[in-house]
Amino acid sequence: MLSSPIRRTTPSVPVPDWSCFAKAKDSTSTSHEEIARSAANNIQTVNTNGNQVCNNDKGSLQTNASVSKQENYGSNGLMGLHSSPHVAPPTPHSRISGEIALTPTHSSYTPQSINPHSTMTVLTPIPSGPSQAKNSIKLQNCVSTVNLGCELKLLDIYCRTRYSEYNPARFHGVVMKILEPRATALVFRSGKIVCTGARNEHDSYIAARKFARIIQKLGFQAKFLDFKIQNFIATADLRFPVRLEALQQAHGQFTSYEPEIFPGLVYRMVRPRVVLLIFVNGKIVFTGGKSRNEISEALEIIYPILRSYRKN
Amino acid sequence: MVSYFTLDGAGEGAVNFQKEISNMMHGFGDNPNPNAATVVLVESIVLQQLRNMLQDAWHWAQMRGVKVITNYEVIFLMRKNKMKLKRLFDYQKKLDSIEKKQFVINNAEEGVMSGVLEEESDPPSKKRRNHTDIIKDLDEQDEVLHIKFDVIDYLRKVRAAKISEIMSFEKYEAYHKARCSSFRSTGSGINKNFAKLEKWINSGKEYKLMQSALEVLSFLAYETVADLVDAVFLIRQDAKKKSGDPFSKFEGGSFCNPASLSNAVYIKSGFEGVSAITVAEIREVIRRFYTPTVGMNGLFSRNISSDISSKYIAI
Repeated sequence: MLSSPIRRTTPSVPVPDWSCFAKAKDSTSTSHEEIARSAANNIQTVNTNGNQVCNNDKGSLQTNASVSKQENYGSNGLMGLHSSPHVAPPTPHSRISGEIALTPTHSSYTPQSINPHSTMTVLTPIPSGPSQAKNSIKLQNCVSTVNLGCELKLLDIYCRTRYSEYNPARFHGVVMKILEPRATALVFRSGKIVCTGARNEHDSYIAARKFARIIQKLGFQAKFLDFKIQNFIATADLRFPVRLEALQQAHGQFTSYEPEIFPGLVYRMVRPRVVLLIFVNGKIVFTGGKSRNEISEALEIIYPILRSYRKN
Repeated sequence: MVSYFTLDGAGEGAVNFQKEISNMMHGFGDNPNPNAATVVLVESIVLQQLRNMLQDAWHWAQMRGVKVITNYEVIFLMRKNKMKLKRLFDYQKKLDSIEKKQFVINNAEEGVMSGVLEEESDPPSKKRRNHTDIIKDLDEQDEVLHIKFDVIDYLRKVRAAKISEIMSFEKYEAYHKARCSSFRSTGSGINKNFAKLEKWINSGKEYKLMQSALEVLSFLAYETVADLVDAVFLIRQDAKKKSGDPFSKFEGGSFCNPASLSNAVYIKSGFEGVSAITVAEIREVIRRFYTPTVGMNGLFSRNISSDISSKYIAI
C-alpha cells in the first residue's frame, strides 16, 4: 500500500510531519489555484504515507497551539478547532523536531488574540440510553443456600441464639438474623440454610459463613457444603415510560399483563432464564437470575424491545 | 343526638364500589369520566347479580349439607359456561404465579421470613382446594382444558392496546391506574383481601362465606362489568347499521368486533371522542340479554325447552 520507497520508523513521541504542512502553509499566502494544487498534494501525501499522517493527527492532540495552527489548513477538525482568523507567519526554524517543538515555550510559539481553548467545543461524555439503564441496575437481594451436613435441633438453636424466631405452627424453620452483614437465614431441621436479605453475593457468602459458625458454636457438627447463590433480585430504571399493552400484544407467549391482578407486566425470558417485572414508569425488577451477568444480559436484550414500545 | 348516630351508621357503614366501577369502565374503553348515573346503574346490577349468586350458592351448599359457601358452590354455578370456567382457570393460574413472585420480592425488600424455593417449605401446597382442581372435577369431559384460545381475553386486550395507542403519557398513566382497579380491597399485593366485597354483598352476615368463594365472586363481579361494557360496544355497532349497506357496521366507531378493529377510525377524534356510556345503553344491554330472539332460546329455535337463559350476565 505504501508507495514511498523509504518507510519511516515511527518515533516514540509523535512528531508532526512538517514536509506536508510546509506546502500547505505556503498556500495560505497564494492564490486559489495554488490552494487547489496543494490540496491535491496533500491528498497525495495522505495516499503515499497515510501512516505518517495518521501519526500527525494523534500527535496534534498533545501539541501546542503553534503546531495546531500550522496544521490549520490540512486539519481534519479532530480537535474541533475552528480555523482562527489570525494566521501565523512562516517561521524560519519550524523544522525543529523532537520534544522541543511540542513545548509552548518554544520560539515558534506566538501569542494569539483568541484563546484556542475557547474555540474548542466541549464534548462531555454522555452515557447512551442502554448504558445508562445498565448503570442503574441495583442489586436488592441475594438468596443463597448452603448445606450444613448435619441434623439440627431447631428448638435448641432457637433457645440459645439471639434474634431468632421459631414458630412451628406457622413455619417449620428457625428464622435467624444477623446485623453485619444484614441478613436473615431460614434454618431447617435437615441442616439446610437459606440466606436472604444480603445485598450482594459476597455479603451473602459472609452471612452464610456466619450463620454456619453460630450453629457450629452451639455444638453441632456443622460443615459448609455446596454454597450456592440461588437468586438475585435487582432493579433498574429505564427513564422512559413503556406501553405495556402493546408489548403484551406483540410478545404474548412470554408475557402476562393483568393490571387488575398486578400492575406490572411479567416477562419470562427464556435465555437467560430471568423473570422481569416491567412497570409503566419504566422501572424493571429482575428475579430469578443466578448471576450478575444474567441480569445485565437480560437488560441488554429487553432494552431495544422496550425502546420500541416507548410511550411519549 | 340520635340523628347523629343514625347518620353515622348509614353514611360510614354503607359500602359502595362506584369509584372502582367507574375506573373499570374507563379501563374497558369507556370515556375517562364515565357517566355517574350509568355507574350507579352498573353498580346496582352487579350487586343484584352477586346477591342472587350467593342465594343460589347457598341453595347448593344446603343440598350438599354444608354450612358455609365455598368456592365449590360458586364454581358449580358456572359449570355450564365453559368459556368462563376457562377464564377462571387462567385467572387462578396468573394469580398464583404473581402472588408467588410478590412473595419473593417482598422478602427482598423487607427481609421478612419466608419459605422460598425450598423443598422443605410448602405452605401454599396445603392450601384449601384450588379453583383449578374444582374446575377439573366439574369438567368431566375435559372441555375446559381443550379451549386453547381465550377469545374474550384476546378481544379485550386488543381493545386496550388500541385505546392506549395514541394517548399522551399523562392520560396513559390515568388509564393504567384505572385498569388496575378491581373488587379486591385496596392494599398492596397479597394483602389484598375481600373485606369490602364481603361487606357489600353480605352486609348482614346472612351467609358464611369462605375467602375462596369471595375470590371467585370478585372475579365474577369484574367479569359482569366487563361483559356489560363489551355488550354496549356491540350495541353501538348495531346502532350504526344502515339498511341496505351490509358493510356499514364495519365502518368503525366501535371496537368490539375484530373486523372493525383493522380500520380503527374511531380513534380519529382522540380517545376522549368515545362518548360516555349512557343509562339507556346499559338498559338496552340488559333487555337484550334477558330477551334473546335468536339462538338457543330464541322464538324460532328448535330446542326451545332445553334450557332457560342464564340468570347471570357473567356466567
